[in-house]
Amino acid sequence: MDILLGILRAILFVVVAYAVVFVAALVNILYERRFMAFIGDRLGPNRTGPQGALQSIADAFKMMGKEDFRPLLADPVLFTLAPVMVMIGAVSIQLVLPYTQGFLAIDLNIGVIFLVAITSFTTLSILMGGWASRNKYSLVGGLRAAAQMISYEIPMLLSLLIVAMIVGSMRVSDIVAFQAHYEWIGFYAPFTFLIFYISSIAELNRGPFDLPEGESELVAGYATEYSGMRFGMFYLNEYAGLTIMSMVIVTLFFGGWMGPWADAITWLGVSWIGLFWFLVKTYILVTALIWIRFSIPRLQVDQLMAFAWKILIPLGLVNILATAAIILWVPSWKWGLAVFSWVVFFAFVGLFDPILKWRLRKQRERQPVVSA
Amino acid sequence: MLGMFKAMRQTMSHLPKKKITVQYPEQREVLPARSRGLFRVVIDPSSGDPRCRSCTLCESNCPVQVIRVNHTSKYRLPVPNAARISEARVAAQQGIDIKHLQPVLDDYYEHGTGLIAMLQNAQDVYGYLPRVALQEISLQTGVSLSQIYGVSSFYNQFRLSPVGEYIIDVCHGTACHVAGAVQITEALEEELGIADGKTTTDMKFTLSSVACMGACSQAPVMRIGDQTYGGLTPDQTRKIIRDLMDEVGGEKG
Repeated sequence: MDILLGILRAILFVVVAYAVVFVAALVNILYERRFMAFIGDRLGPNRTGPQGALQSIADAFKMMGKEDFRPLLADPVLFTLAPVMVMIGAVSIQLVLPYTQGFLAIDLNIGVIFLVAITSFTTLSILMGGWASRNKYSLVGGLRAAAQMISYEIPMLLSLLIVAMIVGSMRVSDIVAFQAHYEWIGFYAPFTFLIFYISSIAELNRGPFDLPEGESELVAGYATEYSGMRFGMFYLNEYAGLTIMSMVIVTLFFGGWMGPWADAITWLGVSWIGLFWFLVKTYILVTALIWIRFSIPRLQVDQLMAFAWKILIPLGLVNILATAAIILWVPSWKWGLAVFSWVVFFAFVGLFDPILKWRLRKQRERQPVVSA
Repeated sequence: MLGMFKAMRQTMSHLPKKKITVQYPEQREVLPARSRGLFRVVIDPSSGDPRCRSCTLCESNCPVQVIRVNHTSKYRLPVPNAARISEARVAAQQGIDIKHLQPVLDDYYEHGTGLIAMLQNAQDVYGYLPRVALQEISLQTGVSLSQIYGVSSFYNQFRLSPVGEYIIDVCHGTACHVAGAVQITEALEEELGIADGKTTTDMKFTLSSVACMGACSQAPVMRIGDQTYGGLTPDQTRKIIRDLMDEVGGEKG
């Protein structure tokens, strides 16, 4: 009986995870298109359904109706497998994320490590797709994606370690429980949050880090040879990733499902107000991601890698050492950590531009100006 | 990083701004009074052919001279071989030298003039539009002969039959009519032995009546070639035409 219940529970959570992926992708695509249009002083798609609400669904049906095309020389196994595998990351991450009180699939004691490990599946499948397509643009796009995602996983992991150090546990439900009474880790460690947020944008392959599919250089990057629903899977994953990554950030830094009257309505052992707060926080972060994408221009490849390896990783390492020292030796370490992290946060934000400008000027002075 | 915040503030400031999208079918912008929209060639739904006959009236009427008609037929004639071309030329040739047409066609190639301008020039060369000339224009420009015939038969200014050396135009405008233009025409018909609108058999004179010549103060008026005669009486007219017939050796009938 227990086994049967366990299987039913597993099926339920997988179905929910898939539903979240599909619904989030459809919602986010429409949300992003309309947000982008409004930023550009346009209206965006508003004809299909009320205010264009059914546009994404129409697009999805269009995609399913397209021809399932595979290039003749493409690797048949990898080419078919890549779009299937790309969903693994987005779906499995949700299994350790508490949507709300009492609505969590598995409370892993190494949840944080699971998060990082499972994210790499996306990298793998993108690389597979790029490799199997037998197309130079796809290959370059796939390799770029691999390089970028592996590079940015390191600062991400360093930030995750700080969260684990602060909480003293790698269990995701412990991390949420630590943040009760509005003691959000995002307030204690804003600099860590900043690093995590920047890395997560790069992990999602979104602007300003959307080089793997930089259409001005690479046609459509790793997805060049994909069409129809196979392309749709990559597309779905990319847009569902917005919500999933924001859910992770909310869980780690902004108190998860905690909020005013989070426990007020409990039905079937699940607190529904908590779910509401979880979604509200998630969508604030999704909005920020979209907003950033349409505000900041795309980086160059060398700038992208330099930003990870020369700035984020050293700063992350320094940050992890300093945080560890504060937790170890400062008596009221929460306050010490907050002061340290806010100071570094403002220093980073304020000094980034002047230092960059200074370095660029120095570089220009060093290089002789070659005139034609 | 502050620069990025600046960029983000900029984008956010556009969010609540008024949108420039016009929801087209429901919402239409008021066009400026002088707007004429997009010019395009109307397609005849029954045949799929353009209704444009490349008459170039639009070209000559355009006040700012932006219209340029370069007609090429969609239905190119099947390219006849050289033998058939020469055969067709010989068959159509009735004492008409096709060489005189060449400058007109060269002008067409050089300046891309419209069909009507070309036909006008061709008529200046021959005095009318012989079939062989139309055929030559058709062969060299690719406009089908039927279209050329359509244009040349539509406009009054084109004549498809030969005219005399001297064209006698008698004004039949209101003033001239009141002053006795009918009698003038009758006198001329009697002297030349031909009806109004016909040509003498020796190809010397063509008699025609035209609408107002703009010389009402001298009514009734007659014009022979470039020479205009005013204040005519039937007797004066007879004298003029007899003198001219003697001069050029024309014969009655």
